[in-house]
Amino acid sequence: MLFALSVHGSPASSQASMTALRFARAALAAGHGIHRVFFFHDGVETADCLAVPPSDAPGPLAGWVDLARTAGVELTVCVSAALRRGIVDADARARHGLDGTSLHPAFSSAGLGQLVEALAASDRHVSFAA
Amino acid sequence: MTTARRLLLILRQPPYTSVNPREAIDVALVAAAFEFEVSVLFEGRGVWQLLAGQHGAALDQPTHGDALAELPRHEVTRFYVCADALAAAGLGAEALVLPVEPLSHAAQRALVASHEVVITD
Repeated sequence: MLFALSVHGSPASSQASMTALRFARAALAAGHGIHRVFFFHDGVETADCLAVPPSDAPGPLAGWVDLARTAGVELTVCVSAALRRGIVDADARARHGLDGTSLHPAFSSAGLGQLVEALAASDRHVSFAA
Repeated sequence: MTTARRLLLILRQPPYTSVNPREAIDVALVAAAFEFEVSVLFEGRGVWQLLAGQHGAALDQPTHGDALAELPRHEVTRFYVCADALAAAGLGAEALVLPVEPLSHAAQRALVASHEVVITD
């Protein structure tokens, strides 16, 4: 079965992103596919590589990056949700004259069309809200 | 490729306290542009999004009710509300920015079951 996942809750203040990560690992281990993981609302903060989680709760970012590199899972943040929360890639940095970037390179940013395309292309969609 | 073509957007959060309701409206618009049949269900404190006479400028925000009222012009025309939540908020159907159909809990379960894609805010 092909899944589309969307992550809506903040990794810093909710369990949503970590639960989604564990679901993704379990789905792949059971032989299912993941079409795309789309990060929306506060879920885009998952991709913030400038966040420093406490050492006893390291957060989901490293796990997502590992999943992208080892299993080829596509990670996409909603560009408008990301920009208003300070999750910035090199393009946005140049366009808005900002000092730095914060989007982890394992993630791409795109519009909501990429969420809707994933909904249409997958057998099941699971969203992880706060 | 599976063609899932009926999408239900469930809105549970009040307006102005977070940006989620505004962002969720964009999901409805984009899904409709991608030719999904989009339905919207307001439940819990999300029913406050429907209150008529909102004035977002007082909070330096766009008026959320105006954005909702625009949805029917973009092919989003099916609106439902949890009847209990509407009653608990003390809102009558005449005080809302959109024509919505109040549903019992059983009818909400049937609504969810009748959509291939369900997404919450």
